[in-house]
Amino acid sequence: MTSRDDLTVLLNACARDDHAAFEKLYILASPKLFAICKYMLRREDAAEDVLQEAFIRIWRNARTFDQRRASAMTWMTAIIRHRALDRLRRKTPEITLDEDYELSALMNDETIDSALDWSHNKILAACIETLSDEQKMAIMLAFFHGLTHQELGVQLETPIGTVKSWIRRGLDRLKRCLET
Amino acid sequence: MRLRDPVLRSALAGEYVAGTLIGTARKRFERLLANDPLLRGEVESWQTQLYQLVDLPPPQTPPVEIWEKLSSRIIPREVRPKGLWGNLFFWRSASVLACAFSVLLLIGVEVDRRALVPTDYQVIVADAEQHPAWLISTTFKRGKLAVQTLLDQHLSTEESFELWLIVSSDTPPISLVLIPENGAALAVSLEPAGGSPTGLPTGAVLYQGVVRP
Repeated sequence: MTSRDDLTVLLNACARDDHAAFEKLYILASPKLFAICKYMLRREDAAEDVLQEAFIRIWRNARTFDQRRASAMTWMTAIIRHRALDRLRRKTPEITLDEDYELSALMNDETIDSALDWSHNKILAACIETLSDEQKMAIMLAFFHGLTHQELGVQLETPIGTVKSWIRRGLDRLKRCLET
Repeated sequence: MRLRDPVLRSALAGEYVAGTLIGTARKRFERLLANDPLLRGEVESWQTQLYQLVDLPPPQTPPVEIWEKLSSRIIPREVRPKGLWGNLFFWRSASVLACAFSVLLLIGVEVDRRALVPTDYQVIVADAEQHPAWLISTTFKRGKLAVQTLLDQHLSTEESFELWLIVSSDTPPISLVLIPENGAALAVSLEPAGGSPTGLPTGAVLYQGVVRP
């Protein structure tokens, strides 16, 4: 659909205060970035807030985008993820109860797989399959739902040292697989 | 603090990108990043690989209000279109020949001059997977309807795209209409060159978008 070049050109134009380019960038990139926000935050209102704040940051920081260092989508994803993770960690006690309830529902492979579309990135799907079930679960919960080592330890009823090693080894294996 | 061990540098960069580096460890890592370009390179390499995971949740078009709020905070009032998704508007003309790549096509629109000054509107018309495909916007002052492709579009000489207004599922789609107060949808269909022979869509409806009054 969207070529990398389109987004790069648009983001560079944003750095020159081009509002029309920003609008087009939003139209092209927001469906994917909104999906990430919603999947990470699991709340429509929070996802909308984060999307809006992130796009303001994208606009204001467009000058710092360097296409030699990262693709436009990677750069924007980093901004979205930072804000979404901040938001996830700013939990109010009231929300935590709900989230714990929802988290227990997330704690199985089927739930993780059914909400996601693995079909258009076969390499990623194949690389994820090289992970052990524990590595996959820990990485997905940390990456998408912002669970910390400690939270993962509690939720997965596993010592924190074991969780750390699942994540570290799993990440390493995943990266090596994706790089080849 | 310096971070020299290459294995540890890579591992911490990976945890930073995955989100498991938190609190003071994260802050310390970010301070190191600020002065260590090689460590930044390490982080970027992890981002390039791990961010493939964000392809997994299926794309979702955000509610239009978000763009309204966003543009009101960023775009100066004088260059902003007068409020998206305006209320009353009249338009005609529909058949659009899309060229390869994003080309701005301006189509003459007859605006009903008797109406109160209508508010300009923009509609994103998306394909079945919610990828934005067309941007349709009005400039009533100049009597223009702009149809912009957001995706590469290819047509043979025997085909045309035709733009339709869908008022409700019970009413046949029409190409000249007053948008009713309770909303309608826009659709682009693939038709024989020159437009639909019957006055109704005969080919596949490729793209759709919702107009809210």
